[in-house]
Parts: sequence; structure tokens; C-alpha cells
Amino acid sequence: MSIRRLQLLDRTRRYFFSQCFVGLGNIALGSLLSDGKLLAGTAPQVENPLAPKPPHFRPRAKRVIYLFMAGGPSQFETWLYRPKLGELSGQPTPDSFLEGKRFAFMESFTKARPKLLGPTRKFQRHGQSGTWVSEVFPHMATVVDDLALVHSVVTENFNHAPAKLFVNTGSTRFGRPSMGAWVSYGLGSESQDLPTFVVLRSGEQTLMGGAYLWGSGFLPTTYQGVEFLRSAVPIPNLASPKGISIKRQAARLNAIRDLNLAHLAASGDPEISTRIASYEMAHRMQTSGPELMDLGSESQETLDLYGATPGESSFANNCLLARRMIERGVRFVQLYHTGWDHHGNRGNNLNEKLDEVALATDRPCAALIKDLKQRGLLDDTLVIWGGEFGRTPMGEVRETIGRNHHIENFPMWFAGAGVKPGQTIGGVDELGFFVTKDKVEVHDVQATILHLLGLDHTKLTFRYQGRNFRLTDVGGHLIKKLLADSTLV
Amino acid sequence: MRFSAFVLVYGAIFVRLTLGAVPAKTESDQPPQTVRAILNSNCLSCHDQSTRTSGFSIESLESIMAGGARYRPAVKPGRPEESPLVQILRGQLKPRMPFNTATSLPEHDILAIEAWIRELKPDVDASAATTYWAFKKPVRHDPPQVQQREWVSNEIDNFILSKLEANGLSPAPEADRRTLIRRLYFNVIGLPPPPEEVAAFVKDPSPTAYENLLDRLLADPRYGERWARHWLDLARYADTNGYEGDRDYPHAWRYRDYVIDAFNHNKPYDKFIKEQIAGDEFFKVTSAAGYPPLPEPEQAVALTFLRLAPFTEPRGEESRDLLLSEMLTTVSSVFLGLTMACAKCHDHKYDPIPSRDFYRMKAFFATVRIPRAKIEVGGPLPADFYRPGDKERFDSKRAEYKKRLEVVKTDFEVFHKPLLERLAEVKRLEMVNLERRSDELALEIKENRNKQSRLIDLLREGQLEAAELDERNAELDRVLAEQTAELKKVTADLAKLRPEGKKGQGPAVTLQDLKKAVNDEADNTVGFEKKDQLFTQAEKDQFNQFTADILALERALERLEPMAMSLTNFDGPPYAPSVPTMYVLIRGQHDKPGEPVEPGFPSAITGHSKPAKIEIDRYKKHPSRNRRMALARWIASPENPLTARVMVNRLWQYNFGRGIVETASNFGKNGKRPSHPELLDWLALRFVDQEWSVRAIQRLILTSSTFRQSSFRVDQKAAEVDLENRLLWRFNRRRLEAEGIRDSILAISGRLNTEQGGPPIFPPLPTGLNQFTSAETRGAARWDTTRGADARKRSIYVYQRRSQPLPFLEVFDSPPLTLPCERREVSVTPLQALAMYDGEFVNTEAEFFAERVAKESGSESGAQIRRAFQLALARDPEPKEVEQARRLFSARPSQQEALVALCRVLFNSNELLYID
Repeated sequence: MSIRRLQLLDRTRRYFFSQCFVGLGNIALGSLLSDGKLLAGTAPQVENPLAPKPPHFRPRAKRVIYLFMAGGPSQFETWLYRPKLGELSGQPTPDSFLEGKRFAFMESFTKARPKLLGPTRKFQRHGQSGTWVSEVFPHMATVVDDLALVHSVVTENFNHAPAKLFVNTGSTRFGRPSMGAWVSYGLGSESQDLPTFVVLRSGEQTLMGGAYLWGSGFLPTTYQGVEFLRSAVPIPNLASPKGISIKRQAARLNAIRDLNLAHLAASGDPEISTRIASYEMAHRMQTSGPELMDLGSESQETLDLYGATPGESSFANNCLLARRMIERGVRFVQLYHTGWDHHGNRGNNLNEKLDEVALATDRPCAALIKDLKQRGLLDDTLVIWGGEFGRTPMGEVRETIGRNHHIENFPMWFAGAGVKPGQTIGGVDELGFFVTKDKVEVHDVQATILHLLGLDHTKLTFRYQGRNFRLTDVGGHLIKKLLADSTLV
Repeated sequence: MRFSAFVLVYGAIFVRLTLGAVPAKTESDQPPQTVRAILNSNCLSCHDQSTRTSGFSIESLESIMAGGARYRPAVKPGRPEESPLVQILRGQLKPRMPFNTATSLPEHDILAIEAWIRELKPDVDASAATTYWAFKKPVRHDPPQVQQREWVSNEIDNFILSKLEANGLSPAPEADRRTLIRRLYFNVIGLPPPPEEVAAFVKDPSPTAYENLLDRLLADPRYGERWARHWLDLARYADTNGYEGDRDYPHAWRYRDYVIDAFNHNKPYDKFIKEQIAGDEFFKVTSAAGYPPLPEPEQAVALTFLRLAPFTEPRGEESRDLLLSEMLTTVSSVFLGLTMACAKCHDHKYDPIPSRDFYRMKAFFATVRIPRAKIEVGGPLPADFYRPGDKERFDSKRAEYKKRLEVVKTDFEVFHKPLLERLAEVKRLEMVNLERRSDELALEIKENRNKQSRLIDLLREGQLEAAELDERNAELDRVLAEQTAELKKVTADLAKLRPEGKKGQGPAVTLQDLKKAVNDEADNTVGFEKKDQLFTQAEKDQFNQFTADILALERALERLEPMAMSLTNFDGPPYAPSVPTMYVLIRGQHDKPGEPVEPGFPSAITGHSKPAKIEIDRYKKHPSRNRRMALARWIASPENPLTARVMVNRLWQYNFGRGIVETASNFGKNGKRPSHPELLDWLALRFVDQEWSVRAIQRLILTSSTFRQSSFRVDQKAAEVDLENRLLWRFNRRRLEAEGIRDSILAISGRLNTEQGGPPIFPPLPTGLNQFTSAETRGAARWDTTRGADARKRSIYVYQRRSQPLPFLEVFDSPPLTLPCERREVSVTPLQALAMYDGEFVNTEAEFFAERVAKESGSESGAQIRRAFQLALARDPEPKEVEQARRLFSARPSQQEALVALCRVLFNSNELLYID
């Protein structure tokens, strides 16, 4: 017997006993599998793709909560204080800033030279770090010392769908796996009864890019994000069919298992035993899913902290759910909140519409950090906040004055595991056009996130169509300043 | 010249020494140990496979032969003094190696290297361009002799068996007939066999029972529905564009029907290729006057193939580059098994495809013109309905939809008129208020201005102190500012209410305003109060239902227009300035053109990089035409070493679960080697001999003993030798694809709608997803849920929406819809269990399944159990299974309920999901 085959058999068997039949107590199956004859002669191509895998090196973060602000939040109204832009507000944009650059919806510029638009919100310094924060984020202002704020992220594409794909998959085109999928592929799952990569959405606008943002691309579909829906049934088909009691459900599951065990016995195919196990997991999810989604068990104090209301569908609820998920072993939680695309139409103006979306997200974001911290979870949980691009220092004339898409700088913040808090990274010129210091590419962000999870972004590869692909394509440098312990680099 | 040299040396890299595709004598050409040691200790740190400084690696004979970027072949066999490797070591060529050392290598080391080179046979690098097996034309091999001759049904078996025997293995016994008929049904038509067919086949005494069954199935029109799905995977077929808004491709479905026909009519594969790449270039120009004739509708439809990529909004040159590059990479991976995408930015790292060849190939698409349209995805071109019966069928459907649309629109008119009036009335009141307020403000402002100007008089008259004047003046300023601002807002609001700007005239209220008022309070008309109480929720819902119905009907009508998602060419001179010139794009960047290129085929295959011959019509009327046809002819030529091999390999893969070359779309160096290279060549040549008849190859594969082997085989020894069953010592058990699962369930419940062809269907989405997708669809691809029997057509007809495929199919690994998918994933997840066990679709069908069983087998539970097993699994239940099923029956209050439970259980059985 070759070593390779021994390894394969061993892995298969180990997987069966450690992963599949926890709580199943299936003696019959156990004895079937321990019969060497059965496994011999089968091709154990199936190993549990979600079995936990060791990272490349010691991770600082065990899990990630990624707060994706979809639409492109304006840096000038949130995190980037540009007083000079205020002084020059209303003046035409200096030539030097426009030449050779491309902006979205250029035709709206050709009518008249775009005018600068000063910050429309007041800024103040906060915390020990003295970080400038706009008045739209009063709650975030109280946790600035827990954040590493990066002003200098740049991206490549100024349309929503490609830009979102870029941040999530490292490519502006369809077909690549998302970051969460890469992480699931690299590290497997810690959870026995929940998916390891979960997505939640809130906000009223369409999420451009849709399910591809958490898709598995060319990786096996097992790794794609599972979206929990905004309904009584967070996962499709999670609820038992109407009129069927738990007892009957169990009886029927037994019948299914019996039937399938016979097929397994005849074929000895490990894929079939994995399938039998998947029913067990599904059954567990039917209990764990609703339990997870039920916020009724949270204290009023916690609910108030987030501004969450059981039974509602909101970003606040999602933030609280994110915490509940990571407590239950979910590794990568991504929250999408739409409504940050403030061009200046009535429905997306820079006035009350910006206030609305800031109000909906400010308290829950801050609450998440506080809550994780007080539970000791922030030490090994990485929290990320950011959109797909920033907005222009120039005003955009629509029904009101708004701002257009801008790819030359946009803000992100990081908090928690492995992140050096209370600092601001990156310089931007005084009008807020371009990065002047510590430019951070999107691939750098991705490399750094993987790094904190203990994964080397150059080694996390998948062979497809004849070559090795990775999340960071051919780019990616660690954002060293971001890391608490840069000796690990 | 430069490039042919390039090819020569790169070709040599592809000599594989270990896998038997190359003459064995090169083994002796390997550097002897001494030379190997010299090279390793002096060169390896800069010239291993990963560092490859200057593109040179010493790790293999091939890479040494190939040389580096500067001097190319480093070794000239038999002539050490002319070999750059030696010249560099001797300092005759710059830079002297080893780099950065004070002295050359010791003389005896260089002599050893020279001695080795002198011994090399000159033919080691000869005919390098065609050395790599896949770039060489297939070689005719006689089927090998075998010992177990009685096992052989056709030549395929000779090849398979001889390899098994060489490895000391034997084939598995033939599967039993029940397994065979089930396997054949799924493989050929993608549906389970009806119990009567199973019984008849099992009993059939004819020696050609199997062949008869096979021929019947191959002639069944459901064969096309099954096999077209494989091709649609490769064609990255979808009904939407994927990017912003995920816009609809209303006419893409006609291509799907075209592919179904191609399989059903056994369209010769060479024609199939030409139609999809150059369907518009079949015409002959017979006169010097007039435009060329329109393509045949079928050929116009075939061209949809080139347009199915996810498409983002055009941004001039950049998106055109993306568009054409995608066409090329898809064509090359689908038809040629070549991954060209890498060569867009740099020379291919593994295959001998220089970047220049990418752009030479891309130049075949230089004149492509996508019809314009309002929306970004491009428009359609006319293409009449040509399939028999389609015109009548769709004409009458159109008439029906039109009628329904009229009715709905009339009803909507009646419904929304009072709503409009209500809104108009509210707006009128609002306007009156605003006008009054406007007048008031104007007056107040005037008064305040007067007051302000009188202040100075008061001061002069001594009635006012200076300080007080300042104070009052400031106060008036403040008030005036407020009033002016308010007036400005009121005026603006008024302007919105009566765009024509005439005072006193009633506000114009359009349907659009009503729509806004119903759906978007923020975008409602200006500030009147209680606007959310203007309409009841029921009214709002009904309003939206009407708009949705109208939109759905309009879109259904659009889909039925006799149009195709086709393309054509730009006009060249004299109608347009010139045929576009194509350039190499430096590092793939659209705005960094390098040298201009002419259309040409990959030099690695042709051995040269001369421009391809483009046959322009004899009047030189259409100089922009026939580029794609030139490419298509070259691909669809018996001389092309890849085309036939790639296709027969795909057919093999779809029948056996794995190709002879496992990487079906990558025959390059980085793909897998063929497990049976002689068989692959033999099949490829047979394919061409049979005039590219796909069905002939199918039949050959399916009648082989190899295909008929049992999958239930436990063989310790075989597993030792060949764990992955590459030698095919048994049949590979396979899970059904997503479509096969859905179709099976419908077939078993007896509710499958067998109607073929036509616009896509939208089966109901699971609860929870439903409302959510409709909220997603502002102006984008919609999910206009199909009701009734139409929703139960086969899965190939399901709308392929890129942003959200049908979840039931997605969970069972339906293709990603973005890139060509040559092989489906097979995942096993709890979400599948949930879909099968708790999903509405399966449970609804389980009830119909039970109904069917009861109807067909009567009221006795034993008969019901047997019938249910026969329908679902094509077999009778085992005694133990009967016993288990009876337990299920005894635990239920009613027999009906018990039967439904049994049906659900059977739908969840593995056996149903797997082809044994």
C-alpha cells in the first residue's frame, strides 16, 4: 500500500469520524467504515473540503467581520478633514488636478468646469489619538482610539459593480473567488452547524455586483458565502415544511439514512457518506439557524447598545448578529449596507440622505467594537469598515450638489486582532485629490487581511485553467504600519 | 524571423521526457551527472525554475535547450563552440557567467560541458514547433492487440484493455441491465427511464437490445436538450449581462435552441464551429453592387456565441479591447483547448504562445461590430424564426400577449385614473398654498426692504440712536435672508409643480409622478403633508402589480421578436475610412499600443508567424469581411492538431466523468497529459473521417464494453495500481448535474412539461428570496415568475440570471455563468440537503409523485411501495426496504400521508442522485 494511499485513506477515515458523525451515534456506519474491505478499492476523492486546515503561520485574527459600506462613502463628510477644501469651496478645480485623470460620468464635467465642494459637515478631534471625525459619526468618535484609520486606499475602477468586485475578489471582472471564499478554502470551518462564511445585507438600494461579491468563483462552491436573508427564513429551505412535526421529520431522516446507507454499503463511495453526513449538518442548522437569528435572548442593554430591535431587519441587527455568528464559530462575516452613493439626486443627496445612512450605521459599528471588546473577542476578531471607492472633492451638480465617484483615495478602518490601534495611516493632498503618502492598494488590504488570519497571500493559491490564481493577483504588500506586531512580518 | 526562432526554442521546452509522448532516446541526451553537478552548483541560484533570470533556467534539458531571453537556444547539439552556453562561460558573449565572479569556471568544467554538447544528436531540437504532442497532428495507431479478446466490443476497448492488461488489471464485469438502462437514459437524454422501459429492456432477449435502446435514445429529441447543456456551459451562456443592473439579454435563448438543434440534427462539428464564429460570413459576393445578403437566420443566431460574455458598459477603446479579447480567449479555450488569456499581458509562461500571437489572433475579430442599442449590452439583429413550427407558435403567442397587454393596460387606466386625480387635486391644493405663500413672502420682503431703507431716515430725523440702528438693521437682514431663502424654495417647488411656469394653471401630473408618489415618499411631490396617507397600501400594491404585469408582458413580447443577439462587421472602404489596425498592447494595456499586427494563427502550431490569408471577395467590396471565417476554417480543419482531439475528449468526459485529457479546456503544457494518447488520436481521426459526426463518436463510446462496466467493483489490487481509476477498470459513479436532478424530480412526479424550445422560464423562487429579488430589479433583469405548467419545463429552459441563478440549481453546482465551464464541480453541502428535504419545490413534487403512485398502483400499500421505487430508482424494492417503508406507513394516520412521506424519502435517496 503506497504512502499516498495510506494518507488518503487515513484522511478520509479521520474525517468521517471527526466531522461527520458527531452526534449521530451511527454504529452501523462506523462498523461499515472500519471494515477495510469496504474502503479498499474506492477512490477517496472526497475529503471534507471544510475540515479545519492549519494556517501558514500563527494567526493574529481568528475571524473577520467586514462592514462593507456599499456605494462609496464620502471621505470628506466622514473621516478626511480637508479645511483647505472648505476655503476654496465653490471655486473651479485647479487644472493640475484634472489633467490626464478620468472621472466617472465625465460628461457631467464637460458642461462646466467642476467646482470644489468644501466639507459639508463639521469635524472635531476625538480620543487620545486626536483623530478628526465628522459630526455624522458621534458614536464612532468615542471608539477612535481602537481604530487604525487608513486614508490612502486607492482602487482601479470607478463603476460600482467592478469596483466592488475588485475589493472583494481582487479583480474587476467576474469569475474570481471572493475574499471570504479564499479564507474558507484556506482555513476550513470551525463550525459544525453553521456555514463558515456568512453574508448579511441591509439598506434600501440595489447592491451592484450581487451574489458574485461573495461567490466562490472557480473555487468549489462549498466555499461561497451563504447569505442569510432578511426574512423569517434566513436560509432558503431552513424551515420544515408546513404541518410536519419535528418527530416526523426525524423519522423521515432516519428512513432516508437507512436507504442511503444501503447504497453506501454497496458502493463504498466516500462521497455518499459525506452526503449522508450533510443531512445531519442540515438538521443541526435547522435548530442552530433560527436560534442564531433570534435576538430575543440578548439583554436590553445590549440591544440598546446596538440600537437593535428583535424582529426587524436593520444594519444594527446585522451587527449584533455578526457578533452572535462569530461566537458560534462562523469565521468570516460580511455585512453589506447600501445607500452611500451620494451623487446629489433627491434620493441620494449629501444632506439628509447622508445623515440617514450615517445614523443607521454609526451606533451599530461603534457598538460592535465596544461589545466585542468587553467580551474579550476583539483580541482575535478583525473588524473592517470600508466601501468600494471614495468621492470627489468637486461637487457634482444634480438635483442638489453631491459628489461623484473618486478612485484616488478612500478611507477604511481596521480594528481588533493584530491591528495597531489609535493611529492614522496615509497622507492625502490638502484638497483631497491624491494620495501623497503611504499609498495602499486594494491588493495590499487583501494581503494584510489574509496575513492577520495567518495566511500568506502568495501561497494561498488555486490552480485553474492552467495557472495558479490568488486573491491578490500579482500584487499585494502588507500594510506594515497597520500591524501591531510587525516583527511577525 | 525573430518569432520563428522564438517558436523553435520554445517548442523544445515541451519535450516531455517522463510521460512517454516523446521518443525515448532523448533520455540519453540528459546532461551526465558531472555536467549536472557543475550547472547546479554554479548556476542554480539565479537560473532555477522560479528565478529564471533572463528567462533562463537550467532545471531541465528542455529549458537549457531553450536558452534565455537574449541568446535563445543556449545549446547547439553537436556544436559546443557555437553554443551560447559555452560562449558565455568562456566570456565570448556578454555577460560572462558566472556573473559577478572574478574568474571563469575551471577549464575542466567547461570542457565537460562541451563534451556533453558534442555528443548531443542534432535532432533534439529539430521540428521543435511541432514537438509538443498536442501541437502535432494526431497519429494513426492501429488498435492494439489484447488477450481478453472476447471483452472487446469496438476499437475503444482495445486501447483501454491493452493498458489495463499492461498494468496487470482486468476490466469490471458488465453492469446489470437495470443499471445500464438508467445510465444510458441519463447520459443520453438526461432523464430517468420509465419503469415499463426498464422492465422491457431487462427482459429483451435480442442480442442487440442495448444497441437498439441506444439508437432510440440518440434519435430522441430530448438528446439535444441534454447535450446542449454541456455546450452552453462552455459558451458561458446566460440571459443577463451580469454587471451594473444585470441587464437582460432578451434574445439569447434563441442560441440555446440553436445548440439543441445542432445536437439533435447531428450538425457536423466543423459547420457548428464556423457558424458560431463566422455565421455572417457564409455568403458569396456575386455582384459588385449592393450590400451583402443577410445571413441565414440560423447562422445569425449561432453568432450569439461570441456575445455571451458578461458585459460592462462601454468605455471606448478599453471595453472594446476587453470584448474582443474575451471572444478570442473563449474561442481558443473552447475549440482549441488553449489558454491564451495569459498571453494578453506577457508571453505565455508555459505554452509557446508569445504575446504577439495573442494580438495576431485577436486581429481576426478586429472588424466585429456589435449592433447598437439604448442599453449598454448592445442590440439585436433581425433573424426570422426558422425552426419548424416556431413562427406560427410565436406569432400566436405574440398575438396573445398583445391582447393581454391591451386588457391589462385598459384595466390599469381605469384603476389609476382616480389615483391620478387624487394626486392632481392634492398637488393643486399644494400649488395654491405655495402661490399664496409666494405672494405673501414677496410682500413681506418688499415691506422689510422698505423698513430697512427708512431706518436711515429715522436716524437723520434723530428718532434713532446709531447703535439701535445697527441692531435693527441686522435683525432685518436676518429676517430678509430667511424670507428670501424660503421664497427661493417656494419658487423652486412651484416650478416643479408646474414646469410650464404659468401662474394659476393646474399642475401637470403624469403617470410617472404617480409612480413616484406611490413608491417613493422622498421623491414625492413637494412638501404636502400626510402624503403617505394619500393612497392605501392596497392601492399601492395593486398599482405596483399592474406595472409589474405590464412590464412582464412587454418583456415577454420583446423576447418573441424575430431577432437574434448577433453581430456583423464594420464597413471597410469605400464605405468607411479603413479597416481597423490591430496592435500588440504593451502589458495588455489598451492605451499602450506596440507594433501593429496582421491576423495570424498561433505560431506554435503553424510553425511560422506569417499573416493568415483572408479571402476578400473578388470585387474587393468588403475588405473588412471574412477574417473570422478564415479563423473558423483554420480551426475546423482536419489539419488542425487540436480541434478534433479537444472535442472527442469533451465527449469522452461527458460520458465518463473525466476526459482522456483531464483538463478538457487546457491541452497546453500546464494541462494534464492524456491517460490514453493513442486512443485520443484514434478517436480524433475517426471523428474527422466520419465527417465530424458527433453522434458517431457518441455511439462508439456508448457501445464500448468500457462504458458498460459496472461501477460497483471493489478490487484491492486495482486500487493499489490506479486509485483514481484513470485506466478505467470500472465505471465512475457520478452525481447528476443540477439540471438532471430537477428534471428527474419532475419526470418522476409525472409533471415534467416536455414542450421544447422557446423563451426562458422563471420557476418560483423559494420563500424569502422572492420579495428580495423583486426589490433588486429596478430597471434590471427581473424574475417574472412563471406560473403553471410552463414553470415545469426542463431546466435547460430556466432563465440564466447572472446575479442570482435559480437557487435550486445553484446549490447543486450549476455553472458560474461567467467564464466557459468545462467541467462541473461536485460539492456536497448541507444546503443541498435542505433544498431536497425542506424545499418547496421537492415537497410539492413529492405530493404529486404520491398522487401518481396511487393512481398507477391502486390502494394496496405493497403495490404503492413497489411502484414508488420503480419510478424513482428504476428498480423494485428489496425486502428490507419494503419492511422499512411499511414502518413509515404504520406510523402515519393516513395512507396518503404515508405515501407522500415515502416519496419524499425516495427523492432524498442517493441512488436517485447518482448514476451508478
